[in-house]
Order: sequence, then C-alpha cells, then structure tokens
Amino acid sequence: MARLAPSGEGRSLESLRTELDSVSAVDRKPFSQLIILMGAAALVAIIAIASVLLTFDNRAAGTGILRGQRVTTDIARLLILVHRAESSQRGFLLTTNRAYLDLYHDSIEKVGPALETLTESTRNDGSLATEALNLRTLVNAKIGEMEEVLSLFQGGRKNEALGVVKTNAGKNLMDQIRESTTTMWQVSTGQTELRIDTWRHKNNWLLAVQLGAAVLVLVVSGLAIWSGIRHTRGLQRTQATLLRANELLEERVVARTVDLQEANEEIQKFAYVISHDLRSPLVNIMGFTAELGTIRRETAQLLGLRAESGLARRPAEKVDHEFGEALDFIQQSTRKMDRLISAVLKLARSGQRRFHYELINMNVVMDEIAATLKHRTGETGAEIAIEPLPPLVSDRLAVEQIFGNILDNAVKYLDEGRLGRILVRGRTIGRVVIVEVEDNGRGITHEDLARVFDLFRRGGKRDRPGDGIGLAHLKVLVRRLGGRISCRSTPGVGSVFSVLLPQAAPSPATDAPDAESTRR
Amino acid sequence: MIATPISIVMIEDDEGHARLIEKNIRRAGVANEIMPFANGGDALDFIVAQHQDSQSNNDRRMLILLDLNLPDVSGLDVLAKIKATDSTRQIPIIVLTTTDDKLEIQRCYELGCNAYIKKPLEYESFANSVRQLGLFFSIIELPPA
Ligand SMILES: Nc1ncnc2c1ncn2[C@@H]1O[C@H](COP(=O)(O)OP(=O)(O)O)[C@@H](O)[C@H]1O
Ligand SMILES: [Mg+2]
Repeated sequence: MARLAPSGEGRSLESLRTELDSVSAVDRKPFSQLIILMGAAALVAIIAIASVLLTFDNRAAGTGILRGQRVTTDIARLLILVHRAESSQRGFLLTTNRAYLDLYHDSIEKVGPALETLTESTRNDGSLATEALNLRTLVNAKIGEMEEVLSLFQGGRKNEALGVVKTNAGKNLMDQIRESTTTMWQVSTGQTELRIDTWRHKNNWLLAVQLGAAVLVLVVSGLAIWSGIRHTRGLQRTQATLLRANELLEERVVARTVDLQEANEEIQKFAYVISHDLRSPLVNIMGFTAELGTIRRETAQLLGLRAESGLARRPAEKVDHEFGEALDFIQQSTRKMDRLISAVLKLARSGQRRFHYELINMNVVMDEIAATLKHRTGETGAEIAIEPLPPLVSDRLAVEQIFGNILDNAVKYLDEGRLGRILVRGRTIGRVVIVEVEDNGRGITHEDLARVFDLFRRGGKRDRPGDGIGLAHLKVLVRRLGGRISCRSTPGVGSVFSVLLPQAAPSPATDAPDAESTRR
Repeated sequence: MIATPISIVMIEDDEGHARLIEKNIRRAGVANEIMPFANGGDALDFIVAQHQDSQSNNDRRMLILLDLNLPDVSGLDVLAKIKATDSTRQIPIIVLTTTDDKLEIQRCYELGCNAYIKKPLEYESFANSVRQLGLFFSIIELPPA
C-alpha cells in the first residue's frame, strides 16, 4: 500500500548535506579575507597619518626657508645702509654739501631698526644670532667712528678728522662688517639650501607615500569588491542549495501526505467492504430468525389445537415461551449488530463523501435542527436559545449532521431534575468560526470525557437509547472539514461542546479525494 | 387478449437471501414463477435471449429483482445494460441491496430502476413492501383458472 521513500531520495539528501557543508566552508573563507581587509585598512590609516605628519613637517620646512630668505634680505639691507652712511659721510667730507649730510643722517637712522630686525630674525638660530651680535658691535663701532670724524670735521678740526680717517680704523671696521655679513649671508644661504633640500626630499617622500596610499586604496577596494562578489556568490549558492533542500522536503511531505491519504482511503474502503459484506450474512440471520418466529406461531397454532383437546397444555405453553425468549434475544442482538454495522458503514461513507462548499447561514441551520427536536423539548418544557451566529462556508450536510448530533445529545442527556436550558452561541476568531452548544444537563465525568468521542463508547447511566456513534461520527466530519471539536463538562451541572470550523473553503488541492473514484 | 403470467427473474448470489425473498413473495400471495440466477452474466444472457425470441412471441413478460452485490458483474452494470437495450428497456426492475446509501439509490434511479428495496432487515417492512409489489403482480397476473 503506502509507498516507501525510494532509496534515491535518501542519497540525494546525503549529497545535499555535503553540498551544504561545502557551502559553509566557502562561507568560512571570508573570515581570512576579513583579516586581510582589516590589515589593509590599518595600512591605509598609517599612511594617512604619515602623510599628514609629512605635510605638517613640510609646512614647517617652508616656513624655515622663508625665514632664511628674510635673514638674507635683512643682511643685505643692513650692509647697504652702512655703505650708504659711509659713502654719504665721505661725500660730505669732500664737498661739504649738506645733501650728503642729510643722506648720512637718514642712513644712520635706518641702521638701528635694520639691526633690530636682523637680531629678531636670527634670534632662534644659534650661530647666526652670535654673528648678528658681533655685527651689531661692529656696526655700532663703525657708526661711532663716523660720528667722531664728522663732529671733528664740523668743529673745524679738519686735520684731526683726517688723522682719524688716516688711522684706517674705519676702513678696518668696514672690512670686518663686510666679512661678518658675508659670513652670515653664507650661513643663512647654506641653511636655506639645506632646508630646500630636505623640503624637496620630504616632498618626494610625501609624494611616494601618497602614491603608495592611492595604490593601496585601489588594491584594498579591489580586494573588497572581489571578496564581496565571492561572498555574494557563496550566499547565492547557499540559497540555491537551501531552496533545493526545501523543494526536496516539500516533495517528501507531499509523498507522505499522499501515502497517508492512500492509507486512509484504504481503511475507509476496508470499513465499507466489511460492513457491506457483513450485512449479507446478517440479513440471513435476521430473515431466518423472522422465519423461525413465523414457524413458531404456526407451531403454536398446532399446539394450541391440541391444547384445546386438553392434552399437554402447560408443557406446550412453556416450550412456546422459551422459543419466544430465545428468538427475542437473537433478534435483539442481530438488530443491534445491524445498527453497529450500519454505523461503521455510515462512518466509512462519510469519510468518502465529497464535500460541497457553500455559504451557510448557521442560524437557519440551528433553527431547523431545533424545530426537529421540538416534539422532545416540548414534552419537558426545555428551551433552546440560539444567539446570532456567524456565517461560514462549509458542507451543509456535514454541518447539519454535526450540530444535529450535538443538539440531539444535549436534549437527550438533560437532567430530569431541572428545567432544560440549551444555549447556542458563536463567534469568529481570525479565519475560524467557533460555535458552542451549552446545556445544563447531567454532564460527563472526567473519565468518560476521554472516550465519548470513540466509536460505540457511551458514558454515564445507560438509561437513554443510543449506540455511541454520534460523537465519533461528528469527530470524523469535523476533522475532515479542517476543524476541531472539544467538550468541557461538569458532572451534574452541564456540558459545553465547542466546534471550531474554518470560515472559508479550503484550497482545492487539500480537498478530499473523489468519493466516486474510490467507491467499489 | 390473453396475458401470459409474468415471470420473476431474481438475480441474487446469496442463497439465503434468495430463499428469503422467495418466501416473502410467496407469503405475500404472489404465485408467479420465480427464475433464480446466482450471477449477473447468466441472467443477462437469459434476459436478452428471451427478448430476441419475443419478436415472434411478444407476450413473454418478466420482472427483475436485482441484487447490486454480485460476484461477476456489478448489479449497476446489469441495470445499465438492460435499460440501454431497446428490447429490454421496458422490463420493470426492482433493485435489492444491503445499503441505503443515498448516492447509490440516486445512481440506480438515474439508470432507470423502478423500485429500490433495502434487504429484509426489518422483516415486517420488507414483507409489507413485497406484499405491495405482490399486489401489483397479482393484478397483472390472471388468476390460474
Ligand atoms: N450533552 C451531553 N450531556 C451529557 N452527556 C453527553 C452529552 N453528549 C454526549 N454525552 C455522552 O457521550 C456519550 C456518547 O454520545 P454519542 O456518541 O452521541 O452516543 P449516544 O448518544 O448514542 O450514546 C453519550 O452516551 C453520553 O454519555
Ligand atoms: Mg448521540
């Protein structure tokens, strides 16, 4: 009967598992890639910092170069001023033209600030600062010499003035000044050249570092893109594999479902055949028992004739009585057996019947059922109250049978000691309709509650007619409709049967197999 | 016009059922000839043959009691065949079965059966219906002279 899973299916699952393993191995590689990427990122950061530092350094070097150039300019200016002062003094001494004197004074005035500027610009530079100090002394000495000559000359002591000039002290001082400025100029220029050199050098470094950084960024982003693509590919593969695994699982579920359906159909066919074929001999037993009854009556007539003649009246009556008793037992049992077989047949049939889904007004259904019970509720004065119920799409016949059974039981198992009250209420929760039938009947004990839904099982006192088929039957129906039935009950107080049914028809794929095709 | 007595063709594989049916028919006061068949094939052959003859002898009349559970062909097939053949279509057929499946009953009426009786589980009701049918027979049958 049920199909076993083909061995190929198992193998493909195995291969799927190894495939999944290999996929997760691919997934592990990005971890090492991550390390590489992180290393690359750190390198880029170092390069960035280095280039920032180098840039700052470069700026400092640039400032140094500028300072050096200013020193050079300052030296040149000072030298020019001193030269101008000397030559304009000589010019005055030779021509006594006041214009020369004015130029001399102007130059001397400017020498002071120029000296200050030079001192200032060389202050942080050890050798230059010393030399600047030396130069200041020389220049001041030179100015002193020139002032002396000039004052002698203006005081009319021309020969004395000439004498001072002839000592060559002024010339010596001037030579020393020139020497000093030359030294300073050389030092400053040398420094500047050195600075320009290092600046160039550092600039090259900066260029190299930045080029390297650019290359690295390119490499790293290439690596990132590559690893991203790889990773995505891995994910895609995993996804595809998972999808296949899903499909395989679904296939297996479908196969299992088909198996179950087949098994279920098998059982139903079995039940149908059994009950159908068991009825044949039963028909004979019942029929011939009835025949025996007829024969008995005929025999009794014969015996009765004899009894009238006064012979063996009592024994004849006794035989007739025993005959009757035996026949009654046989007939009772066969009738019961017939009902039970009919019940099995009914269950088998209702398991095969194809449902026809339609919109059902539950209040109409309940009113109809209540009307059929009227003759019984009327006797005792019991009351069936029906609240507004939600509509649902389901099989009308099945729904009628389900609630017919529940209401029939509710009426049947009412407590004679009190007025019967039965309440039908319903509500919708999501896509599910819940209909509850509550009674104040005799209730069901906890132990019985577990088996009243089983076929032929009854609970409580056997003082009401019935075969214990109703609940078993409606359990099958409710389940086939995709619902649930449950019961809570307090013995001596009452019971609530709640039926949970889907509000809408199921999708066609999950519908029960065609009854006609499985019927023999 | 002289009517020939109607024969009752009983197609029933279960001997006991056959005997019970016969007894009930007789008890209902029906004295017509009963021709029993234990399978569908033989019965069909017989019925068809009878009605080929009836071209010349057209007053050969019968009524069929048909069990649906037969060992060879399905009772439904026998029913369908008889009702699909022109020469046999007018033969009244009473279907006997152990079930009262609504779908099965509906199928039988669709195929053209004239009555449908659940097997004699309740002796009284079965005897009643057979007696009613018997009444129907006796009216048609001329009392033996
Ligand atoms: N509303 C009810 N109140 C009390 N007992 C109930 C009720 N409905 C069902 N039962 C119990 O459940 C048993 C099974 O019910 P059911 O399957 O309908 O069979 P039956 O009514 O033929 O006995 C009953 O015998 C009864 O003991
Ligand atoms: Mg019941």
